Amino acid sequence: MDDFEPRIIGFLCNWCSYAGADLAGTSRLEMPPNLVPIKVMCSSRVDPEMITDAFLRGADGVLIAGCHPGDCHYDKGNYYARRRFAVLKKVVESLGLEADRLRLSWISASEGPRFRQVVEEFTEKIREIGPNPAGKETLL
Amino acid sequence: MISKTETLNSGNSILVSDESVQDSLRRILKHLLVTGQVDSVFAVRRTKQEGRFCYSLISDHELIDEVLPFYPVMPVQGAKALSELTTTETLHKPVAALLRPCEIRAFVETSKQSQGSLDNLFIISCTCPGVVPASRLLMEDRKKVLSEYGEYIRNACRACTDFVPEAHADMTVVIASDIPSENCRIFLHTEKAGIIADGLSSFTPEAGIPLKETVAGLFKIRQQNRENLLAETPAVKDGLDSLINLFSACINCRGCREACPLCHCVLCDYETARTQHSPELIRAEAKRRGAIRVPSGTIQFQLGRLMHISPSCVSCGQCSDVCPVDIPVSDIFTRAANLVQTTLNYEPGKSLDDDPPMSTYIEHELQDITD
Repeated sequence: MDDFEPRIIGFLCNWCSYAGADLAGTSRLEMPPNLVPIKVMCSSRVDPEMITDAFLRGADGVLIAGCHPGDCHYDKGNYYARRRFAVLKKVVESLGLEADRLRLSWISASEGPRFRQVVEEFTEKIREIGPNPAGKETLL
Repeated sequence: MISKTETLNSGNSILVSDESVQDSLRRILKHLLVTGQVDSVFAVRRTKQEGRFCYSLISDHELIDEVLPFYPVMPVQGAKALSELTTTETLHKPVAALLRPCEIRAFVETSKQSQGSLDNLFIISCTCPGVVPASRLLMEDRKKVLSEYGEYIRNACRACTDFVPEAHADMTVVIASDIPSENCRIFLHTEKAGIIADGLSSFTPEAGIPLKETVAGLFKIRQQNRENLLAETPAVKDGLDSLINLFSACINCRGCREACPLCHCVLCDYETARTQHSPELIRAEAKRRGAIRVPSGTIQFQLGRLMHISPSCVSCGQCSDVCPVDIPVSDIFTRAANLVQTTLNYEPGKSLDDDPPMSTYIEHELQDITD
């Protein structure tokens, strides 16, 4: 499995985390190219269904990133996102699936280096876990 | 003789009658209808064909003889049926409803999601011994199933520790109990129940031991069963493979969704174009993987339902009951609900005042799952 390159889907909120990713880019910070960013208006826009869909279609990891608690552009969207993520994570755990493939991180618009750190850490973590078996499964 | 209302105020008040539970309850329901204390009765009733049953809203007291009080079967989840009666408008006149504890819990959850209302409902519940899957009662030797029904009760009931109504019940009839009795014993919980009891002849009031103490032994057995059910997680060992095996027989009938008292969306997400896979996608996935199961999206549907329902699931077992291919849906939901509800610190059906779990949040919570 030495040639395994994780494919990670990242749902980034428009106001904080996407801007944070942008800052990391304009600051020329180097980071693994494994994250495919998808811009959403708020972390609470991410229906858990979108995450399970990505997971069943073979994404090796799914990252959701939003504004820090208290800083949501829409006041409290990220608090609801956190509850939904908790439900998803526990459901996945109860089924014995790998909950470590899912991550929720708070990254603000000024945290370019933190964005890089999250992407590095998460990519490394997924590399350890290995490829998502759902990607090759023929009975889904 | 002391008044029945007085015994109620002294706590643990019970009514005792030497008739059977069935006869006593029919007598009470008839009394309620005849005296006009309730306008109608909501209960399981037998139909013309022998051995068949259905929930009914009954306004004619003569038809109370057809009521099967706490017959060990759940034709549909009572909460689902009551929701039909109370979603668009609340009950104008009092209705007495015979409901099992899980039906009350489900109805409380339903009401919190604006899909029903407890207004004007007089709830008579029981210490629930569990129910038999309807299909077994209909297909197998009925007499045998009824006489040995402890052997036949469904998994969800066997592992249910919430078989004593916690709140919202006005009266509780003792059916499951550590202390068997020939008499019918009815605990009174509310003033309304006390007033009704005062008008009942042929019942004598008594001060009894607390309701919970009469079922302590059974509670222990149920607790053990529940622990076993939570531990027997087939999926934990092999993850995805077990999940696929569990749902491999699923025929996408959506029966579990229809039976579930908490699945009430008029248009389910999983019937919309947004979630349905296009032929093009199915073909592409088949190419990429080598093959793909059709109908597609079965596991996606179950995962979606788990996420929607597990915060409020009351583990009534109705989903397993209706599954035509015997998938242990309810066991899977009970395990997920256990984890989810502990995490969100939410007890479904407990109180009308708690906010529905997904419509609220606490500022500093769940910090261990985020970073």
